[in-house]
Amino acid sequence: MLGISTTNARVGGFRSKGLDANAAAFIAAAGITDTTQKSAINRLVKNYKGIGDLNSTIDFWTNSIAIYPYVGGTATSHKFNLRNPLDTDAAFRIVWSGGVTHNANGITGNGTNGFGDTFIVPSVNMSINGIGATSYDRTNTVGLGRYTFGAFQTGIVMWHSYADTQFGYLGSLANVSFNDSATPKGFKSLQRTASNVLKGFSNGVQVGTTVATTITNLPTNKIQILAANGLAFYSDHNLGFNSFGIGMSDANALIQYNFIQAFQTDLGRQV
Amino acid sequence: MKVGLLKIEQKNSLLNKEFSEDSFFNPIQDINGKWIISVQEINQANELFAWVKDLPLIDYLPIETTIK
Repeated sequence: MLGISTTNARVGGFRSKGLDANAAAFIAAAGITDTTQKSAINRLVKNYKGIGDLNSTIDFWTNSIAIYPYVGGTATSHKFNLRNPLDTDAAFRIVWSGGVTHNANGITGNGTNGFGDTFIVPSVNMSINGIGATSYDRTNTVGLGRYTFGAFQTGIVMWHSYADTQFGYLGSLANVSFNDSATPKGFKSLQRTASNVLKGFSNGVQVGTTVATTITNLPTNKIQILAANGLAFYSDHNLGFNSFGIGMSDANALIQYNFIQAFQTDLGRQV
Repeated sequence: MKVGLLKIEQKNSLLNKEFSEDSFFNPIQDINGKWIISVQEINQANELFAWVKDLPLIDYLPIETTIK
């Protein structure tokens, strides 16, 4: 038993029916002992699976390849992929390098050399016309060319960045402009649902215009967190979440925002 | 921002090495080609790498790139 009753556990007002097996596996791998954190993970997993209080119908779980909740406050607890919490490259466990600070608020880059290697190779592990990627950014400052995640090679890119404004790219140099440069904080979501549909969402609401540019390739470099593999820039922002998977609809992007925001609220670190 | 200045042999000795559990050194070059590590790596370094705490600190001059 990992501290959650099978009959009376409550998570943010939701009466849980017990500890989900995938939540339990992550909690064990990450060495999480705090009851609030365990409950928050359990609620997150159930909402991902469509059996939660904020999502009782849509299966986001199957369409995800990596979910990084950054719970536990250490480099070790923050490295595990909730979707597959094995300590292997193939499971997309993160390897941290350089100056990344880990605490209860998640991960924070140093803007110099800190990043996480996800081992996700977009050209191998993702679908060219169905890509989703998200970041929960707790920092509200802007600067030149800082990346919440990214992979880069000449002419083929995939990243979310904040500079004088915010940009999101999934596959080509045709980008979504977030048009909210003053507020980089929040849940940022990039979703490509078809060859000619790329959208950006900020806190569940579409920002900018839909990009209709088609793509033929995805980066062969691995996706990095707090940096863009292949470029020199590093972020100094504090992230509370990242995820990667298959692109989703506008309605589902809003549902995902709602349960990710609830997850951050359960942990007392919502923005 | 201050960073720790490395000699080439020091940089080579840090490659693929953990400075604390599940965190690896990442020496990078500044705009002048000098190898550096961050103060976070210096402050968190375990006793095997206690010597990095004695590295001279210099101002960080990043390599500028225009892509955003």
